[in-house]
Amino acid sequence: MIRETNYDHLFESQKQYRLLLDCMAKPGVIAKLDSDINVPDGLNKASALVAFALLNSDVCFCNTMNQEALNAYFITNTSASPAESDVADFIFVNGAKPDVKKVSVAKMGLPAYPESGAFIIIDVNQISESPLQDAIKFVLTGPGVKETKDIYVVGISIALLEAILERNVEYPLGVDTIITDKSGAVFCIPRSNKFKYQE
Amino acid sequence: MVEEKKFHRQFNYAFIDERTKKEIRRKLLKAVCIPGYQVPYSSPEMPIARGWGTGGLHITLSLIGKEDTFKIIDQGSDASVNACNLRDFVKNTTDCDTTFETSKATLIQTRHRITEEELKAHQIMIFQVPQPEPLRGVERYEKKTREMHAEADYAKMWVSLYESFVRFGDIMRGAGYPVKVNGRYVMSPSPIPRWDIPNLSDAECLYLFGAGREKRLYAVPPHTTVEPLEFEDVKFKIEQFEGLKCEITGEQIAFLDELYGSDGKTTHVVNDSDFMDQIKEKERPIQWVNRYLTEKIEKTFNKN
Repeated sequence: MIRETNYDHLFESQKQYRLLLDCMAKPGVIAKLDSDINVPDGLNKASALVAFALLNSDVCFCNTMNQEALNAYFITNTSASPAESDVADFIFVNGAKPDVKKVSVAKMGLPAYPESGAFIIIDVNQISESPLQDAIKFVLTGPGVKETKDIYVVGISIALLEAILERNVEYPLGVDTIITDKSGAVFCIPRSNKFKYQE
Repeated sequence: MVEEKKFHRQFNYAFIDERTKKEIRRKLLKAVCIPGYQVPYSSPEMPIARGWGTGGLHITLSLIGKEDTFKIIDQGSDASVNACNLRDFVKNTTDCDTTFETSKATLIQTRHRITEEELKAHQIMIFQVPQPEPLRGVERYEKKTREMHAEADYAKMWVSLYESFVRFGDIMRGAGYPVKVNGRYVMSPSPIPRWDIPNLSDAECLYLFGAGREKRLYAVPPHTTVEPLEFEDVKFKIEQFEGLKCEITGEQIAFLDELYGSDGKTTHVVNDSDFMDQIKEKERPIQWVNRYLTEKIEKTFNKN
């Protein structure tokens, strides 16, 4: 169990939230989240910072990476409670080896209350605006994007992307995605974005 | 009250407690993800009454940090009572910089106007909204309006616009003209004049709306289509101010306020106080570009 005593829950979470809001408002914009924290193995630091900025005891999360250490880490530092993926407000997924079944039952909200759809936070190896080897190219279009925007991601499974697209078919129902990489880079894909991918 | 020892204050930074800020932040993210959709939120108690800008204040205080520069306007003016009091409150609880200059601000809270000067990608405009539900005039029950939004059933709204045209020969909505966001949700843009409506569409900045009394948040992200509701043969139009100009600056292409003198005469001045100051003291700031404004400019200067 790691308690992050260096993290400033007031000013750091405010700064990181503003970056997240900017990324969500402008899909395809890449921001860097950084802080002096010691995350457990198997979790990107940026994903932990997303959790610190957004989670508290009012919400529940599902850690599909299924490591007890990660659950204990989130509970200790955010007070959020663990839950099954079909009721969780936040689902943490490993992009390369995802538990697609859990994402495919993620909450997508109700017609009168679509905001109750889940956030999916995906850990990948690398995110870039320029082409990378073995990367999947995302072509983003929709609100927040002027015409189209291309983003290259290394370490994300096609099955996971298909599961997210499937969840977002009945817009405004759907899930909202936050993708983080090992260097702290983050970009967002709100459900309103009609993204396509190319291998 | 328990004293906040870390900062020697009797309240949290930016007044609202961190737990509530997180709730508002999560809801704002969802509002951005579903443009035009009204997200319910807690609307915590503030030291001002609901209906006096608490929705806008909740958003501002949830977002603001020490590095922000804050501007607030009320009906275009930096100096009105509502704007002055809320500016003092935000300044006292956050220690952030405040400004009157639109281009220097990172967060702009507003009551019933969009700035005359075009906003950039790093800026966020926060609206104080009195009535967030555009369908309330045609349907009194919240459950029903929620269903109507869910089913994108806006027939009653269209009928009300049609009836308005039949009765009065025009769509009688001056401020708060209903718009459709991203081709999906009909949204109340808060009581901004028609002049400002086209500036919501395909903007560089993020628009956030907070209705504290009604406990609703909603958003229009940058580069999002926002269309005023109009018929094929009855089109939306903005205020024209034909033959009028600002008494102080001579400006013709800006939203004008009508003033009454003690002699009974009416004069007009630019409504946006910073825009007027910039024209008077420096140079004319870059204004929004939209087709309605372009038409107005062509009409004004071709006539002259």
